[in-house]
Amino acid sequence: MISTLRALLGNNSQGTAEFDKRASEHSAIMAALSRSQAIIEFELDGTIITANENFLNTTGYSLEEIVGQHHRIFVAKDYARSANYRDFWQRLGRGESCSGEYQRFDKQGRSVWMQASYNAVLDANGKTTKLIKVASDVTAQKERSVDLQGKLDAINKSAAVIEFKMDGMIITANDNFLDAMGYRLDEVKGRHHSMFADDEYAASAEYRAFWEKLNRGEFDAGEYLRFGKGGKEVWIQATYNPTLNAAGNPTKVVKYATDVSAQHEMKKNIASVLKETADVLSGVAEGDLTRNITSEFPEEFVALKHATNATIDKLKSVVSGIKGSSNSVKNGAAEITQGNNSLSARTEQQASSLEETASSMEEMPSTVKQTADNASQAPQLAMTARSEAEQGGAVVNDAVKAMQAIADSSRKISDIIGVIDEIAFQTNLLALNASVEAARAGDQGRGFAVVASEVRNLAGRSATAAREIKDLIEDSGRKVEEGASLVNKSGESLDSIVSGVKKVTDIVGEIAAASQEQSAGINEVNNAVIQLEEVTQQNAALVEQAAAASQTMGQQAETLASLIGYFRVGAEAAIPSSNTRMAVERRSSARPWTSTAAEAPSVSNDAPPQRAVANGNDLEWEEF
Amino acid sequence: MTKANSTHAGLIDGDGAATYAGNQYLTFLLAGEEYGVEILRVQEIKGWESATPIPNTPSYVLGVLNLRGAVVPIIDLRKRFDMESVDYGPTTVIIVVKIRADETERTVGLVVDGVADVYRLEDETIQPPPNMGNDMKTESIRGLATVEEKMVILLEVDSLMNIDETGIDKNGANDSIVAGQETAVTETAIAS
Repeated sequence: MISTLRALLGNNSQGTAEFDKRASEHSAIMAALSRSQAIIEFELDGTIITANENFLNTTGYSLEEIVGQHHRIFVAKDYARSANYRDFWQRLGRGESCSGEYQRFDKQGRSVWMQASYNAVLDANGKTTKLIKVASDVTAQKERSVDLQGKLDAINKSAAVIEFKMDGMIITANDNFLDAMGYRLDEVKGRHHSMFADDEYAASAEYRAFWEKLNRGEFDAGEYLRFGKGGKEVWIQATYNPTLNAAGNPTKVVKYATDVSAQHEMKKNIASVLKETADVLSGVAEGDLTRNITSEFPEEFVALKHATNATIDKLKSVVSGIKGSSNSVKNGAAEITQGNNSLSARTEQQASSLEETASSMEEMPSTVKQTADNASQAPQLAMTARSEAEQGGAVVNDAVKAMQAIADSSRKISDIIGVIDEIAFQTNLLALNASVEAARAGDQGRGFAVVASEVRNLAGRSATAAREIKDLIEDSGRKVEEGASLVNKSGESLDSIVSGVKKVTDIVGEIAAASQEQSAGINEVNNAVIQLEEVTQQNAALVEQAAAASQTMGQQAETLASLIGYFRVGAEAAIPSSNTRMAVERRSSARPWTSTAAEAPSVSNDAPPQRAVANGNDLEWEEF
Repeated sequence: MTKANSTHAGLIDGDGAATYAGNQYLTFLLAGEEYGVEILRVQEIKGWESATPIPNTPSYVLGVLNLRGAVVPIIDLRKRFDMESVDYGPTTVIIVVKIRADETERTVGLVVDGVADVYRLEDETIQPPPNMGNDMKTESIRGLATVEEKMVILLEVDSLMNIDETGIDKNGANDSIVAGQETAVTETAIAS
């Protein structure tokens, strides 16, 4: 150290005591330096001679590790190989001093920044003997400075930066700013800030106040409308930052700005988009479904426009559908009510005809009983007829027998007549024989011939008489036959009468049985009619229920229609006025279903006219 | 029978002398036609009774009858004249006639449909049978007479039978055939 100091101080021939005093002073100074600085000594070629504790601590080496090593162990490998490094050492070797900030690396390879000066130590002749580097670890500062620089660079890259003097004169601007405003640097440098503002504003008190604020050291931030080259409107989000010097006085104003023209435009678009959307949607809220978003939206909001329009359209169609449906429901309810009315009319009719049926049914059993009684009489009558027929049959038989007797007698008479005829014939023959003999006798036989001829006459008369009798007999026989056939026919008629009577009896028996069944059937019919009446009553009750339900439905449909009527969907079919409430005809609870048949017709007569009146009026049924 | 007036005029007329038994004819019915034979040839008239058939006799010979002891052959005149045979009825009678043949007198019964009447017919009223070119005819028919608008065929009794009792003609079968033929021809002539 002392020697170094000596070198530093140069050869001094003054008294050693002064030199020693100076030397010890210098040593103390050196020691003080050494305590505060990191010091390392190199040979001219870069070989490390020694280093102080600070240096070793900074670099993390021990002295043994570095002594004799080259300086390059502290540098980045690339840099160590580079021409700059060689050049650096060459300069140092020539005795040039270098100082500055140097990036070195410690034992762990971590970067260490040193604010250092490489100084040549000259001997008495001024020849460089060694190099001494005095450094202080500015790693932290460097890193902070790098950090700050990095931040500044980042800001510079991202923001438009422009610097003004406190009076507003432009010092410089970065590219971002220039691009945003459309100027070149030379066009803005030295000009006033007001070139970017519109004339009216630049002349205003506000503007002056703005700069006064800045001059006070207060920063201003906000969104500003500035004008670029050619009057181009540029919106900027900026901060005007008066930077203070060490004394706390603002020396310049640095403005960091970002071009928010696009955002501003965007905001304007958003505003208009939102406005229009809000308008349309509020229209929807008011019930107006006819409007759509019509203006051109920027690309980002096209989806919103389509979605909104689609939603409105969808809503419109849904509402239209609901309107239509509610219409249909209303119409349906009206139809149901109508149908109900006719159904209730029919039920009434049914009830009245049932009553009529029931009353006529009451008469039936008596008629059936009569039939049954009559039917029961019939067998007796049939029996009587049958016995009489049988008697008649007996008479017929007798008649037949009598006729047969007649016939027999006639036959006998015929036989006798035959005999007589035979006799006549024989007599005739004899007479002829007599004539023959008489002729043979000649004259003597003449008288005999006469007798013979007379006898022949007689025989002829006998024969004639016999023939006549025979004819009569035959005639009477024929008549007897006729009579017999007539009697037979009457016998057959009687037989057929008997069989007919039998059939009648059978049929009457069937009638009686049928009457029985009829009675039973009538009973069943009666029961069925009673059941039908009950069912009709139930039907009527159901009809009432249905009427009530349909009225409710109609009312609901009206409510729905009125609710949905809040929405206007543009051209719509005229909704039939819902003013005509289909009045539901209600029966009074006390329906005398046991009304007599006489009343029934009057009921059905009354019903139609009342029904005609019912439409459109509230109506109350009178008890019937 | 009731028309006895005209028929028996010959018998009851006043002059009496004109009564000639040879002019009386007994008429009988055969197949709807009236035939007559001389009454003197007639032996008797009797009702029909069945005859005892004799074998090997012509078909018209029905058989024989015992007539008061005498055996009399019975001939069916219908068959003899080749007429259609009919069933015998109540009026069927047998006229027993005497036939002269070759100096013998034979009694033969003729079965006829019925006996009619006895007429007296003058010879002048009898007309000869029409000559059809067959000489045989005249043998069987004596003549034709009209009585009360009826045509009566008067038969020659003797021609009826030219056979002996055995029913065989002397000349053999030929003559009977010839006889049958002539009567058939006669009838056809009469019918026309």
